[in-house]
Amino acid sequence: MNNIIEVKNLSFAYDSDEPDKKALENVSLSIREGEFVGIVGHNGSGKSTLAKMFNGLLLPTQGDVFVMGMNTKDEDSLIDVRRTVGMVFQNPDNQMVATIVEEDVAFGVENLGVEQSKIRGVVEDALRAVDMFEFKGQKPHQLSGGQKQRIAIAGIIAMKPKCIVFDESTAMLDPVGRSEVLSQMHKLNKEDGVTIIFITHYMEELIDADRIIIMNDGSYYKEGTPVEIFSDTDELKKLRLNVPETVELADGLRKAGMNISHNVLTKEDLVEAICQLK
Amino acid sequence: MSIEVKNLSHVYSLGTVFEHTALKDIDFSVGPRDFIGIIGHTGCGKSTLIQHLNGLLKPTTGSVIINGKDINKEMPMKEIVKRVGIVFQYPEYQLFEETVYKDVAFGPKNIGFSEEEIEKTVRESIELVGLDFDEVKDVSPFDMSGGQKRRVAIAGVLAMKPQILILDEPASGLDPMGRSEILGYINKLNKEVGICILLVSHNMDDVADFADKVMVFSKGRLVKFDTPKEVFSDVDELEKIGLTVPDSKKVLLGLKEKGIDVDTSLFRTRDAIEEIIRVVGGKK
Amino acid sequence: MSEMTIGQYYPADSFVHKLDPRTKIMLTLLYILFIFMVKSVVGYAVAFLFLVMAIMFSKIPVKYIIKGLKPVAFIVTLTIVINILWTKGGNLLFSIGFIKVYAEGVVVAAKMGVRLMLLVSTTSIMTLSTSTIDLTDGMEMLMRKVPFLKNSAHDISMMMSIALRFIPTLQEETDRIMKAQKSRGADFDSGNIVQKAKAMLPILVPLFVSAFQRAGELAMAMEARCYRGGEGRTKMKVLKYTKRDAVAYVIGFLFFAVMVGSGYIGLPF
Repeated sequence: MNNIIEVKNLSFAYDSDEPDKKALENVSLSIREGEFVGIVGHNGSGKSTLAKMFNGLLLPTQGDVFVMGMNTKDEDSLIDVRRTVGMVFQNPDNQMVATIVEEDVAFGVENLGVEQSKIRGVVEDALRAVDMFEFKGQKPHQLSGGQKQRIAIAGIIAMKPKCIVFDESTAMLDPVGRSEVLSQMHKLNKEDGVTIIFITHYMEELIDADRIIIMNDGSYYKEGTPVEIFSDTDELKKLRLNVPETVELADGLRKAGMNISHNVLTKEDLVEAICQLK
Repeated sequence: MSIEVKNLSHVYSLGTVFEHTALKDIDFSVGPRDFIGIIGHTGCGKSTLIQHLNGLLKPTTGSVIINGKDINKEMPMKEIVKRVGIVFQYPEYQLFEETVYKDVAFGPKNIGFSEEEIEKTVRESIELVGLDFDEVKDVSPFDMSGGQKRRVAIAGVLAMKPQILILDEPASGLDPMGRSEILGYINKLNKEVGICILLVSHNMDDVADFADKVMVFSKGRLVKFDTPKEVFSDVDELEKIGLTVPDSKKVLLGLKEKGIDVDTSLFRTRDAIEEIIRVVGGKK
Repeated sequence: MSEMTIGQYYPADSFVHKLDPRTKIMLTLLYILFIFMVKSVVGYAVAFLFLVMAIMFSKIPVKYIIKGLKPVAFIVTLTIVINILWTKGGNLLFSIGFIKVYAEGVVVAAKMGVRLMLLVSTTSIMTLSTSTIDLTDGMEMLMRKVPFLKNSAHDISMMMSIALRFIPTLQEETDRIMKAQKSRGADFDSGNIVQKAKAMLPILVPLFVSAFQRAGELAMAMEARCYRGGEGRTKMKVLKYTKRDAVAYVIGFLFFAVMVGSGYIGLPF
């Protein structure tokens, strides 16, 4: 598969007066087209800074980021970079521009200069895709957190990106809102082939990811499938991270000598695995 | 020190088209040193309830009684907040002073502590949330990391020496280690300092790990107030109101369904591990 | 907050609601302009009739219009009092000490009072019958026709719509911070004006901090959605004049002509 994003020897300092205080240091990685990638790391590990590199919101101090071969530093292709890689942020309130839902969804499409007669159709399709069509005339503050995030997603998918970055987009939601947004991400990934990059603290949200990348203190630490990543609970704890509860339970049983495979990530699998031992 | 809530109902925008009953016929009492978990769907009335416990909202009917006194009749606001502290969600958004010391001292100053008392309580509170007093006292809270700001904000409420501390999702937005650290300090406040804790949380595992008793709210009513064991025993009913039980318990229930005779009343991960090993056997 | 009528949309299916926002803005502006040129009682009667018609064709309950007058009641009263006291001329009606009230003063004051109330009521009809988004769109389109506003028309309307979008969010935020500080024993109600102002700091500082943070995040979110200002931008909704607008303009101008003209054809006042 082709790489949609390539990060090469990326370093970044927020303050140009203090170039040694690096938020990111020598990070290299790539994201393949159609993948569902999770990025985890403790607070301040640089994962959100990294996310903003993927569509040129921040530019590398050293190194390069390529989106479909376009360098994000190249100002002429910046708009193409941003329409290729969309972004949903953490706080649902701070990414809505308009006072009416459908106007907000239209915002990005209007920015791209799409022909006026086509905009409404695109907007309505996007609202249907996130199951929010009947809310199109509502005001943003009348919606729940999960609904606001779905509107934000609609605003991005209306621009038809190939990849969407979710920068802790579930962190401020309640469990219902979180599962709404999460299932939306999987739907986009499976049905429309959109590449998903999901930054989160909640490990249980990454059980179905294709790959998990761990960031630590501004550096790339390691990557692997969920099974590989969750197999070393102690190492994750050292990185200020944890594992989903089921994995912790399986790990406890394993430590007590039970022969449970590291492939077990879900409750159903764990029950199955224990029954086999009986 | 105890809080009693009697027959409390709260209606927003009474007498208008927007009239909306947020709480209905709530009755409970909480004793000293209790650790209570409060769970429920968004909009179930739990945030309306906690605002009644320190007088921010007045009940439409019913009363809130602290140490035998009806707070809405016999207690000025300053006396109430001395006894009941509330840490709202994302409390770092209440920080405003130039230094950590001044910010933490804001509450105790407002309720009339003397200079010496203030100094003592500020130091103690900052240390109770795991920060080094001498290191942080002159730092601007706005220069701190998110997790540290959160702790300073909690210290600001602790410094008023409340006997009852209510926390609304105190760990939200923190990384996994940050979450367990904050919850660890809260547990210590309960076990070692003896403060009664009311913890509002969406996370069943946090509630399962720490709470002695759990309140379940649904559609403005207190539908259950019992030990976690009892509350988590009725999975179907919890799911009906949009809640769930800890994953460990679900695994135990799954095993039971497959004919393995485990005790399904357990709900903590460590208990579940022991139980599975007891029944299925460890080293094999 | 609920007292504030300007900016609040009253949804209804009416002739006025269906008018192009530009028509409503223009007619309101012209009405305001001409109301200060009215010289006759007949003129005022016609101006009042225009208002009554506008209310009828907008299907907005009169109580909403009256509610809109409340916040400006103080200004109206003040204007009336000042005009009564300041204007000298005509018969001296009465005097208390150094205060002398002349007939001319009463007339001028009454005119000013009536003008202000008509002005506010008409503006209320415009804002009540037009959604904020249409209002900002209409203003943007109109500003584009004004030479010195042409280049900033998009920016101004974008700023207005963002401000309107964030008013409810910041209201909630203020409420939340206020409750948090009250829980820390803050007292916002007692003390003299200096103490009260000082007591607002624990609300204002966090409010500003959060507003700046929100602004930063919003700017980033807008950039991520390819925002580059007004250039190269299209719009989902494009305003279109219809026959209805032509009718409204014709009726409006007829009224305005009588309002102003009546003063020059020998009618009293």
